[in-house]
Amino acid sequence: MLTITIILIICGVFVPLAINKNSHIVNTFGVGSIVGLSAKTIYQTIMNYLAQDGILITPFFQIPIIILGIAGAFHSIGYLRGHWEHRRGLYWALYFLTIFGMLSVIEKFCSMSVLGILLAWEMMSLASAGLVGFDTHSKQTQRAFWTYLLASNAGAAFIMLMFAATPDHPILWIIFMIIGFGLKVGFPILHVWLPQAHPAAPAPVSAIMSGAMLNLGVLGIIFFSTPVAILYSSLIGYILVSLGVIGSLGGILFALGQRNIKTLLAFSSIENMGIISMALGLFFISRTNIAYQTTSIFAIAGAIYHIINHSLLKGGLFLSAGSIYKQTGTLNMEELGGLMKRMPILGRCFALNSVGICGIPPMNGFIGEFLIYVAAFYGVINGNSLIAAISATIAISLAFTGGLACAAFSKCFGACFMGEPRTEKAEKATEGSAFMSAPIVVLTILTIPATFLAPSMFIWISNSLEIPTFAKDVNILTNLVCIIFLLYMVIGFIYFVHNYILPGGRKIRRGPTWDCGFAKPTARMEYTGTAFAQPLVDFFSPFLKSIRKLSRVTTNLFPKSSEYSIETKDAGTSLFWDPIFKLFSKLFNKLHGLQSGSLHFYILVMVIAILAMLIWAFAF
Amino acid sequence: MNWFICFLISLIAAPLLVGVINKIKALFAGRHGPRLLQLYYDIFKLLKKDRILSSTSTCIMELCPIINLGAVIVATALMPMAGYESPLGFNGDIILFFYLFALGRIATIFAALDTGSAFEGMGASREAQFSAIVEIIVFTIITFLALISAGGFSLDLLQQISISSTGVGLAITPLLLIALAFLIVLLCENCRVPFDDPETHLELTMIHEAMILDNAGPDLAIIHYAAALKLWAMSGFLVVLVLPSVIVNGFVTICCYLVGIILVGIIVGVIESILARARFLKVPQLLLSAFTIALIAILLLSIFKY
Amino acid sequence: MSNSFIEVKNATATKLADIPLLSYDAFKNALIDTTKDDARHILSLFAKQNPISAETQFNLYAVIGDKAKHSLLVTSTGIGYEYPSLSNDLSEVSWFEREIAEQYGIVPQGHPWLKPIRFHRSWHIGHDAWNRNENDSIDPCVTDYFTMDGEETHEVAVGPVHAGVIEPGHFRFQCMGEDVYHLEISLGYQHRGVEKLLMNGPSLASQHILETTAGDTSIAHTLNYTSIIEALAIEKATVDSSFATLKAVLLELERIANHVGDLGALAGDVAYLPTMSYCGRIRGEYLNMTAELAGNRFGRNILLPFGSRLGMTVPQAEKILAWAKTVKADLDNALELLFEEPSALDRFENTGIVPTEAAKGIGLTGSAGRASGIANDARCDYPLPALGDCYAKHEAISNPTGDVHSRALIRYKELEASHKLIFELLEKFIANGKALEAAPKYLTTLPQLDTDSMVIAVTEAWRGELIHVGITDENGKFARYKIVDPSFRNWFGLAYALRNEQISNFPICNKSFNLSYCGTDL
Repeated sequence: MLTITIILIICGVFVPLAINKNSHIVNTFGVGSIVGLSAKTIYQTIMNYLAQDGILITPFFQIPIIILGIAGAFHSIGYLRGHWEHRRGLYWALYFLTIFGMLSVIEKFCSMSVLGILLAWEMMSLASAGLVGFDTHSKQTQRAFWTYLLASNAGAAFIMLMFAATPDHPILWIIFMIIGFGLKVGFPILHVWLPQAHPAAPAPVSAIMSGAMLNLGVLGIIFFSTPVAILYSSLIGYILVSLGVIGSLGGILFALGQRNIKTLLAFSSIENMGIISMALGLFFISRTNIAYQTTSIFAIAGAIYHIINHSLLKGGLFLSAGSIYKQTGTLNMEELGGLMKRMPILGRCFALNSVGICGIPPMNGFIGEFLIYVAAFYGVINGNSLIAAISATIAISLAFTGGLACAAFSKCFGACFMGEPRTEKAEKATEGSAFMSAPIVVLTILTIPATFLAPSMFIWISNSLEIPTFAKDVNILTNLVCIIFLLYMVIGFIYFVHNYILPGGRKIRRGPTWDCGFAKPTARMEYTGTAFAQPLVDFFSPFLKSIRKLSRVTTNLFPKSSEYSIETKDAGTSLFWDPIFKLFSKLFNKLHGLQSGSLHFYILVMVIAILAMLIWAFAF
Repeated sequence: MNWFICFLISLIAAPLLVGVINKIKALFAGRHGPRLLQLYYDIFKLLKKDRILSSTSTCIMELCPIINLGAVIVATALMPMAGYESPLGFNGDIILFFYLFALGRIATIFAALDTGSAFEGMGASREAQFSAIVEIIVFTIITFLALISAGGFSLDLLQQISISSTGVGLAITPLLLIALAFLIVLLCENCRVPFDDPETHLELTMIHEAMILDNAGPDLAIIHYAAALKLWAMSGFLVVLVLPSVIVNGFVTICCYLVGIILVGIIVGVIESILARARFLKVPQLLLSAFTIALIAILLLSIFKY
Repeated sequence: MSNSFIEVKNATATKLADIPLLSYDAFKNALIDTTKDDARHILSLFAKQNPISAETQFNLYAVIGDKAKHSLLVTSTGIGYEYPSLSNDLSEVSWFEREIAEQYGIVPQGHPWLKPIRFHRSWHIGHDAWNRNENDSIDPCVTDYFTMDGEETHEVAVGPVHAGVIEPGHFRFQCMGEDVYHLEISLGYQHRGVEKLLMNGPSLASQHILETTAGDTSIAHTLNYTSIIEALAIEKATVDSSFATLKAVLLELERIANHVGDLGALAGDVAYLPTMSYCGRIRGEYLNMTAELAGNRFGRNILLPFGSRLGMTVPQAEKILAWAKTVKADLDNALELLFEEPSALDRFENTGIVPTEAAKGIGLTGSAGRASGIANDARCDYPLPALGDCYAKHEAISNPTGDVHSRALIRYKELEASHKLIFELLEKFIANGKALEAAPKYLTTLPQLDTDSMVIAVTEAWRGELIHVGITDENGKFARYKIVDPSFRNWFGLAYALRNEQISNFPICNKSFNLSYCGTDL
């Protein structure tokens, strides 16, 4: 195994770095090593499974890494075309190291070696930080890079502190655990790097980070709560539920106010991580009492199921955002429009993924949320008044989150893909290379098995946690899946009747969209994305604190000109962190001389550091 | 078997409910009003027409009305009717029931945005806003039902609620409060006054009608029918919630159920006649007050229960 | 000031030579100084082409209403194809200047917002204020609209084809979501060239043209037209004093019918059905009353110079009186429902506000102006001789808030006043016991008109001050017939009312003004 690993590292890191220039060979090595790594991991997992060795919950976290790793690798081929030609080798090396780091983290979690965990964690963070800061020219990227690096290292530091605290100091342990892993998950206030890093990183990297890396924080919490679980399970649960409720509602509300597709998706990730931690929290609360067993099993199943769904859907969405960026050169929704006609395959995938991420049937996203609802309502039925109240809160905030997610993703999908293009950039877009669309299509298709395999997944999840399941619980899912299938049939039947029987020779005619008969309609007469979300953003403005700039037109009967702009900035950054950092920056200004200011230099230093760590990791 | 009869009646009679509402409104206004069966005539007329699609639009606009109708039909098929359980019912179907409406809604929103028209964008934006808030009320209501039924949370248990709560006696108050909250949800979801005005011809003030401005012919027929069926299904929910449905005799219960639904139609008609529609800025407040009503119902119930 | 203007009474003829001809600067200063007084405001500004012999190509005439003196002030100046714009100092003339620019190709230099109003070619071929070629097609409402910057903003374009059977016009909203930051209204789809058709008149067709200028204001337009003919006629026929009663009753019936219809439509726009349906029916009753008197529901083809085509008998008057009293009871019911329904009032209040200052700057007239606190009412400000002393006791009803509710309330109160007036007039007529004989003398012929004269007729039509100016040439034919429909002065008010308003409130704002498209398009 070690030999294979070393070969893979050589193929994935050193070969691309060495031959940097030749794009085909670098691409082949890059993708090949990722596929190899995946194959190796799958093989190992299966062997572990057969040997009844290792903790069986890990595959649910490995699957997203593998799927998104491979999908992202293929997407990268297309994404890199014409971008960063001269640094392609570095990209692939960092990409490989990110995936490798993530898989190692899981591996080390299982083996519980403290140093291994820290090293793997750091490798994953540093390599991905390198990718976040890959576009060295933009100021925003640099800021995102530093924020991410800081957040990751702070996270690692807290994890280290957690180990230092040891389970003998359970409260400290829990606090450090929540902060350390929460920085990765993106709990409210700790989420600050997310809306910066995701838009800055290349799309495949955003996809991996959002779809797979955030999950590792969740896994960390699941793993490292075990030592203190007997006494403090409920406490962890309460913390997770409150963070989850705030995170999910806050995340989706801020998503609504965004114009940049990737920032919107990043905030949506915060929302989904919030949903997952709500479910996880409910699991922690309810697992202590046998009376709430149904709740606990549905809660953990919902959390894990939602993790997988979120990975598939959000991965697809981020990759789509990458394709859009590649084809149009912008991620600003207000500059897009009409892409459905220009990028039909991507458009269809984006539509399905959007519906899925909102948790709407018949997509897989619904099943995860459904499980959480079931858990919550069982909590309402069986629980004492406290648990009932918590469960009710979870159900209601989940519903509200779902409703707002519908609005946010209708906005995103509508503004980018529907109507007529608002700018020339969007006008000229085309589908782009198959390398970019194929992974998105595959990810979208994968949502179908993710939907229909729900009952068996449910059994698998409960088995892996060694919780017994009852037929009546599985039946719920079987029924659900059957009805979703029925829904497909009914829609198919109506489609058939509507298109083949009803027409009876009548034609489909096309005409312009109703423009009230005006002679010269323009694309400005389309609703913009911001306009779509305006009523909701306005309604929540006390919370969102959107910055609105308007040179008023009221003052004059004949205004000469006026301008409007609105920006919804991350409240976590502006209200919490900025003041703190301002304080620190005063202190650090004196150390300014040490900085050379070149990001190339930093990345080089980092790669060396990672390699050193890699060698060190194997030595242990 | 009886359930199937009810289901068939629902599918056939759904447009009649709209006719009843319009008749009531006409009565209040001192007019003759459209015929009871007017919507049937409209649907048949539309079915005979050509399909006209916007040249801006894509497959989304072609598909979404169909998805909407499919979702509403399946949702209706989940409903217990006149005391008979749906063969599709299962524990938790109530969540699916409302989520299917959400599917219909997001399909309509997507289709509306597909045309690239400002009117449709406006309608979709309003729908997205109000429905997000409606979700809170709906799930508060489901929480209430889970709490009161104490065994599960399927639609089928709904019909035992009214019986058990009349038995309890005290629980009838929260139940009525919940029914009121649901009535508000029903009005909002089905685009009735005071949230939306189904009669208006003014693009700038519409919600649902604005979203379907560019649909014509058979597509529009499907949308009209789906809207009528949705109204029927939600009225059925309200009836099942409030009316104790003891199966005495198939025919009698079915009749009672139908009368109940017509009664909901009459109530909606009366509300539309005596209220002006609210301005859009006030709608969220109105919905939040319904949420408060539902919360109070839950509080009352927990006081009785614990 | 006394030298700058000639003071004339409503519908009385003046010789053109008596009108002061000022230098442009004096003219401008006179206008600015005079209108500083709240009792005076500009009623009309228009150009007239001069004979070739004159020094300047055009004369610019200004008509100012002076309600303190119950008279009209007129002055003029000579201009060429360019002159410095007045709109920067007198914002209320901006539309008049746009109209002049479009009609003659005269450019008001420095006009803040010089755009076509009706989208027709200049009357003077070769002179176009926008330098459009003769071969360029002119599409109605295709012009430069005020555009808001910012990528989030968008436009909502409504019209010319509206939902519902209403007139065509184009509304361009600058929006961000539900918020409207600016509205621009562009008309012109119904331009028929009415003013041009009336030149070299009067002919027998003239009255018909004017009756259809704005179909819902037929009676007021005819009243003005006949007053002008009567004033200009060299040979004045004697007129039965009861004609004033008939004319006032018809004018008020027109007002009532329209106000009732609009209040019903307002109720309909907020989905308050009972009032909507009742008012829809009741409006029909008033139209039928008009038909009972005039033989036509919109009062067409009844009034003639020096008389009318049909008379009025005492039983007829009794029938109308009884009828109106019954319908009034129904109407009161319907309107009380509306004005006591909190959910409806909530929609009306604080919606579409035009503050008094802005209303003055825009030059709002009529019920919209009175709803913004401008207490002008031509019925008492400038009594029309043809209406005798019917309005002797009338007073302007005003309310300062300027919102939709205020405009609805003004109409509600005016309905009350109009009913009272009709009842009084009819009761007096019945008490008098003398039937009014028809006087169709000028049904098929027209009187000879005085030469080189000007008459200004101002009537309070149901929307506001309706102004007709007739100028005859040396042959006693109309050299210029200027029409200022109240809508022309109020459209900008509607546009202003929408600023920083919710777009969903546009329909009720629109209905509360209910302006005429064809009256503006001419």
